[in-house]
Amino acid sequence: MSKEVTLELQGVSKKFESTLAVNDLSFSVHPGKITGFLGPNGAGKTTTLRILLGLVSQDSGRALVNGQSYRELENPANLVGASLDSNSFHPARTGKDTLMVQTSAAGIPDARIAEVLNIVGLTEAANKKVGEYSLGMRQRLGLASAMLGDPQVLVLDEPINGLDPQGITWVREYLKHLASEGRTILVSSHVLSEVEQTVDSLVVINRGKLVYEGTVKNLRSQTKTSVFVSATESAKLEAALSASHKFIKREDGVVIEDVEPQEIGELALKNGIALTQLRTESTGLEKAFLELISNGGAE
Amino acid sequence: MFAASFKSETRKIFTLKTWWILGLVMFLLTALSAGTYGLLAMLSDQIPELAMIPIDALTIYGSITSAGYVIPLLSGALATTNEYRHRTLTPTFLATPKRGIVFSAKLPTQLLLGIFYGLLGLAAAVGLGAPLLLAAGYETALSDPSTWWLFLRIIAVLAIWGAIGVGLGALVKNQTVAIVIALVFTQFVEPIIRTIGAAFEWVSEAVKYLPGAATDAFVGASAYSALGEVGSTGLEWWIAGLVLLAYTVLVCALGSQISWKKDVS
Repeated sequence: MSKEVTLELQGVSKKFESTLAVNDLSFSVHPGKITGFLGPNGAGKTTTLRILLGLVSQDSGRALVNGQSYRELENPANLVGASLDSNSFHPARTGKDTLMVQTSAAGIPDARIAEVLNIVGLTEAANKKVGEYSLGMRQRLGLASAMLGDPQVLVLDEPINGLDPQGITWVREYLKHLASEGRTILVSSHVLSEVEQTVDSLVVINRGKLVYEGTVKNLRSQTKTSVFVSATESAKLEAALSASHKFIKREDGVVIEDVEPQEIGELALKNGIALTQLRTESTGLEKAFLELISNGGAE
Repeated sequence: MFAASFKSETRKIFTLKTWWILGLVMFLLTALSAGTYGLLAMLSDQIPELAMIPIDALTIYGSITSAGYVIPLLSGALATTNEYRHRTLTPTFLATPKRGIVFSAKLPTQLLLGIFYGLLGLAAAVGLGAPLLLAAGYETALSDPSTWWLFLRIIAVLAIWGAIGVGLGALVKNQTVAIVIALVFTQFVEPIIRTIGAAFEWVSEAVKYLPGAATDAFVGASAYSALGEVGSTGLEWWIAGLVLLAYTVLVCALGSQISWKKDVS
């Protein structure tokens, strides 16, 4: 890559009628890695991305691409590729024609269309109308459109939504490859598990406010796992546990927080208890994420 | 940037069917109205009452605008409302974030389409009207330079209506509402007002400035003037042209400065 480009938000706020969709939000996205942009539905992710790309005007603060606002960029498609909405295509236009409209607007040679269609696996559907595309195909078309200018920055809003399992694996690998080339990649999602294996950094927002910015590793280390365990002799299991652990009783077993499964297995062995189930209840990362977004946020 | 945007807007038109469907409608509408007047001309020596309607070549050719100015209006309105309706403003503004450029690139594409529709209308009106006039023993007036001057004004006014459509669509946003406004206003509201206006002198003074009346006045020959708006002489052709330009500037300024600048979410 010729140059490395950073995305930056500085104290951005946006109000829609009475709701504060984005509340004094600041974060930055760096090159060479994939940054996950997370938050529950309605947290303000899409609004934030649209502010970053000049589609929505913020009330205050600055949104910068390479130090400039998107609307000031001379030929933005060569610097930033974006896929924001899988329903932003005219249904009567073919996939190829949809891209032809984009290449001409951005001054990109039409020869690039066949290349991006090949990359996303839409070559055979190129002359089909977009109205006949599945959601997954429209997601691929959006990615193809984003890649037209071979941009240093990719901004993708829920790109995995609607893709089949093979498609999901393919997108993950492709994004990793692009990041390894030094590109700046921002991917939004409302499900952590969807992007957990792909992203290097996380920006988490809730009710328009930043609640976490940092590495995935760092967030994971903030909590321990909890373990679900059950046994045929459940009374004996509970008695053995009560000496050393706090646990929560459930209909079919017990949940112990902040513990590794190995520890519980060893305890059962020592007490001669036959376990029927022993598993990690939820990963520490998911728990940490849920904690982040269950708080009041803006309040 | 403008050239790129213009090329993109041209591709938007020719990758859909609307442009030639509207062209076909234009051709048929004009053929129908020119054919009707041509037949009236042929029948006028058998039915004396018809002689009251002063039919001549210019009336037939001028019917292109009164019947067809709704076509470029719709074409222009679709060019902008399609973007709202199919949410294509997102990719459009991502590629060209300076929105004024996108809006202004739509104007020449629709002006050119308006000219194309004008030529189609002329082909139908002259192609069908002239033989009927000859058969009825009328002049075709095709050797008269003023007829060709009329053709030029017809084409120019249809181009202007394409631009008015762009502004109307941008302002109204909702495609259905824009189409309804275009059809209801041009086909019902204005004709009714003009008919009422013909009966009252003080109304007819204001009615002259309505867009359809100004269109007829600019072209200088049309069904309405043929059917005799009593007491109404219409505007001078060049004043009518300025009135139409004023409408164009007004509706394009409102469309591009208000709705077009709003958040795209």
